[in-house]
Amino acid sequence: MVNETKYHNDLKKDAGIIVLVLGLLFFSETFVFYTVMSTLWDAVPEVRTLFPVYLLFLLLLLGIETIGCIRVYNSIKEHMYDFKYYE
Amino acid sequence: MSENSNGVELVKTLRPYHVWALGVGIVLVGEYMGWNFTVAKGGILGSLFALLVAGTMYVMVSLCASELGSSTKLAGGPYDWARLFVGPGAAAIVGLAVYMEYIALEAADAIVVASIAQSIFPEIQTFPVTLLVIAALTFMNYRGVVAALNLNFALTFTALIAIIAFFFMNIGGIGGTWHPEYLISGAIPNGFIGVFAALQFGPWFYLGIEGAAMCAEECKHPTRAIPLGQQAGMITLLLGAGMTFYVCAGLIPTAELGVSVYPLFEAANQSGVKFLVAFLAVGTLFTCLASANGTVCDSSRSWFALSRDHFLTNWFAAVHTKYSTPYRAVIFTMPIAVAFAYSGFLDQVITFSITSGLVCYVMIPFSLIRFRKMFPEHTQKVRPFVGPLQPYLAYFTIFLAIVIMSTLNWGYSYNLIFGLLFYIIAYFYFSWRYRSIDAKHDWGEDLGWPEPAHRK
Repeated sequence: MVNETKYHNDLKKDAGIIVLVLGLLFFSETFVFYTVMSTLWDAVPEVRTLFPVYLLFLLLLLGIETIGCIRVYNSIKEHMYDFKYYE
Repeated sequence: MSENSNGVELVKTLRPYHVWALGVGIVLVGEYMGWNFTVAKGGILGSLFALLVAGTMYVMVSLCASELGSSTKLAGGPYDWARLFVGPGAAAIVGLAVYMEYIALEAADAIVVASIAQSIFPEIQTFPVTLLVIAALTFMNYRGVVAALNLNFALTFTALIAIIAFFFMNIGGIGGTWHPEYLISGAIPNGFIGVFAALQFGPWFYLGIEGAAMCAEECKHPTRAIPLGQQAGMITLLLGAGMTFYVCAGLIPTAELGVSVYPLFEAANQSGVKFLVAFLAVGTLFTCLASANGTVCDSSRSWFALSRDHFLTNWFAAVHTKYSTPYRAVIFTMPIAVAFAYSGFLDQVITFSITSGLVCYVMIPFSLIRFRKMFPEHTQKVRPFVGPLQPYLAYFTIFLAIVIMSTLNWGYSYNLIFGLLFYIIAYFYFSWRYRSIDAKHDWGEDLGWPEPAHRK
């Protein structure tokens, strides 16, 4: 017999850790990106040409990682009872 | 799937944090050293470009590895995925590429540990220390995977906390003075070509994270542990990469940063904070040991898988009756790592490791494309974790891997040609060898799967 409360609590712990590090990732990457771009914007003219490419890859990186994490959460939630993940 | 040579199975004890420790443990060394060669090629803008483009590629590689690893649950990782979904020749070159990628990395790590030891105790010789490090870590892996990965977790976590502490102390104003003028003076020294060429060292930020999925056969719940550990590992590396880049770019003049052996440690020195200097020194040492430890684990699994399927002599496929480790394959990592270490050319060893890694980053997504075609239905038995936006991400990954590989042409063209030639010869050799093997593969018997779509 599966203890559903334990399973939900353990799933929340898994999700909590990922949300925490993902939040830290969003903060640090955008902070680093903004600081470097704003420092170089007026001093280095090439930055204006390259900026759209940099922004595109930053958005791709953060977007794909976030979608990937949501998929992992859904997968664990879907199969946790069948595979007895938290026994 | 073939039998282990002595009929003993690998023990299933690993949890998600072990997967994280294996993946991040191998790679975090890249944040402590090596990534800064991107600055030498393309300045600050080149390094940031490499960080973002290589980061995007690795996020996608790690999603492909999560799906393939949690589905197949086999020790060979990329080798087994190529064997099942592409073909024997491709499988053999991937197995060999993974082996070479990690062995070369192990040798590079051991050389660096010995160099650190020599900088502390100038009277000692580096080569004996290198041998000692390789021997000690081989013994650790011989004794058992859980002990080896628990050690990796402790080492890696300490090294990661050192980076995070450094970053937050710096932006909080108590971790040294950040100099915007360093960024401006070294923003783009070699023009747009330099920015593009910097991509060749971009993988160093994340090289080897796909190896986290290689302990799938030893996981208690691989369908949870692999995707969770792999994604947590990828986020950790992206965090570490951004933070490392920021503190180093603002604390070390660009000309010095591009050639620094230990950039993070040097940045800590520049900060003038004794606590950070000590913490980052410990982090540098720990991350090298963790990386070498993880690479012994992964390279031995790849060798074990090649041997189990008779690409090599089946003698290497034995599992230890007491420790449940592929002990012969583990021990055999030692002479090869020593041979790489003996050469002593760190950048050449690193470049061969990167080339081997890039061969894998073409083959892993290709294996996923084939997997999706052969087994299009998302059943719980076949595909418990379904990655997003596939197969489009797989195609994009192959494109980025080839683009990054092409940039090795600037400065390392002979390494690139030699590396590719090596794998082409290996492909034909193993394809020829496979014909002489009585290989039987039954999807139902080996994996409990239905027949693939094209055979129905």
